Amino acid sequence: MRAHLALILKTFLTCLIFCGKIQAEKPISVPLEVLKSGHIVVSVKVNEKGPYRLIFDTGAPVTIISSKIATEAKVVKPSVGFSLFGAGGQANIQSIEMGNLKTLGNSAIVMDHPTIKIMSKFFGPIDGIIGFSTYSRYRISINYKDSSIAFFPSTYIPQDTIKAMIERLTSNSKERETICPSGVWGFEAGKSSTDLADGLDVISVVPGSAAANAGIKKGQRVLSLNNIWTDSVEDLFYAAKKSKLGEKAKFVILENDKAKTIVVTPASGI
Amino acid sequence: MGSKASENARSVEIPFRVTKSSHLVVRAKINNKGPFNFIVDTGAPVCFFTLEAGKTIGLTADENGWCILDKFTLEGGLISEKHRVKLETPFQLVGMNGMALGGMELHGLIGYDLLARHKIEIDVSNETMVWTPLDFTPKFPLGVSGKSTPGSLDALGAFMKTIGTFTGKKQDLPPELRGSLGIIIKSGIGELVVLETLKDSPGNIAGILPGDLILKLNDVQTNSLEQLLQVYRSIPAGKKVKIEILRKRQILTLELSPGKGL
Repeated sequence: MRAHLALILKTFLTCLIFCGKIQAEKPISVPLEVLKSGHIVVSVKVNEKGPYRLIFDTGAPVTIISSKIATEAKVVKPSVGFSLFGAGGQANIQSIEMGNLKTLGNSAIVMDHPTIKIMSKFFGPIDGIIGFSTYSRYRISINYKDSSIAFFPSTYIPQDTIKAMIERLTSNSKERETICPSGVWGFEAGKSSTDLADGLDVISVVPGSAAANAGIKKGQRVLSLNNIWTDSVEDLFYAAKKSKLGEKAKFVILENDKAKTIVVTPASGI
Repeated sequence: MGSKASENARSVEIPFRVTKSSHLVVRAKINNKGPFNFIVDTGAPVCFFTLEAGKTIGLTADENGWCILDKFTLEGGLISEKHRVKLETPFQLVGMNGMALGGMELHGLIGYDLLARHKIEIDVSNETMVWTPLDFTPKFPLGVSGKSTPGSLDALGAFMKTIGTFTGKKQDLPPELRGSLGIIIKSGIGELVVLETLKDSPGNIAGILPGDLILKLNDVQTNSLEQLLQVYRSIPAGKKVKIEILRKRQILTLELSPGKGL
């Protein structure tokens, strides 16, 4: 009986994991329109009003909606806001819909962007921009050829860009960031200030370390770590920071003018 | 299916960084020089490279501001040859760099004419993109053939233009690099038991032995690897640290000077 239950439970769990995986991988495809200017337009509903045409802009830190949308979709502008951007701060939007994709709890700037107004004259009415604050919540796949953007679920929560920028503008902090590599690798690399060639020289390798065991040797040139160029020591540390503890990391190494791959798994420690 | 497989085979994984201003920045080398920082910008019709950065590698523009790059390599290894870029400084970059808003110097924009030739997958949580070349040549965008470049559609463009004249703020100081002690911790047991110390490492020289239990770092109690890493995360090479260990029922306090390297 117990074995029977365990089997049911196992099947159930497997199903859950399986379904969860499918769920996680299933994208929602949203059609896009490419303007003759090369800009992408998506059809968007705001608080279930619309649709409106908005520019999809990976170069825009925040989503912007026109005052027309704000009025029609009853977007409440914040009463007190920092009016640095020609707009009264950020407004909360209950829902933004692109095709079958519904994003809840957005914030946006309400603003009649001058460039957007000019574009509307050429390409029909455009009422804002979908920016980082909205799209970064998804893993996205942009395909101009198929005229579509696929949205996959993601766990990313964007920072409040406006707040972060104001803090940056007003702070006088002289704090220096420290780049903290994941794990213990066991080698040192560097280059002279006159050495402008790609990569870094391996200066020393600790015997018995993860790097030594993987075949990193003094005199080799480190070109990249996990696809990140290692042209400076800062770059190398940054790449080692991005590497996840306990996971294999891929170096591209130049040795006797030949490039090769060396895989290192850093040890846990300090 | 076959075409999908060959498509995937051509995919290039491109690392990027999210700036403090929430821009996606990809590094690129131009004619093997650089790297330079480019914003991935579907709001830009073409690629832009700032005049200042262009000057440092000897690029010059034609009478309409265009410059053909022999080799344009994105980090991760995606190469475009003979790619035409606008050699001019978009006004939002003037502002961003002037006020050091990005947290790094920005040198250009990657726009529609390069983006549209690829399927582009962006995962912000992982800071990686996958670019897959498509058999697709986008039509050249309208309104940028001559001098009248519309520029990029940065949402904060108007704002950036205003602050562009106040170029008082310096870029961030270069980061410090955390030092290394060469102490390897037994993994997966919860407690901080030393597995070994690397040869001639600061931990080794200070006399830390396999089996020692780490209790505190700089007087902060460390019960797990996460806590230890948290306390140790901002200590550069040369800055002394105090480690309290338990060995054979005795508590010992040792002072270590972290070394350079990973």
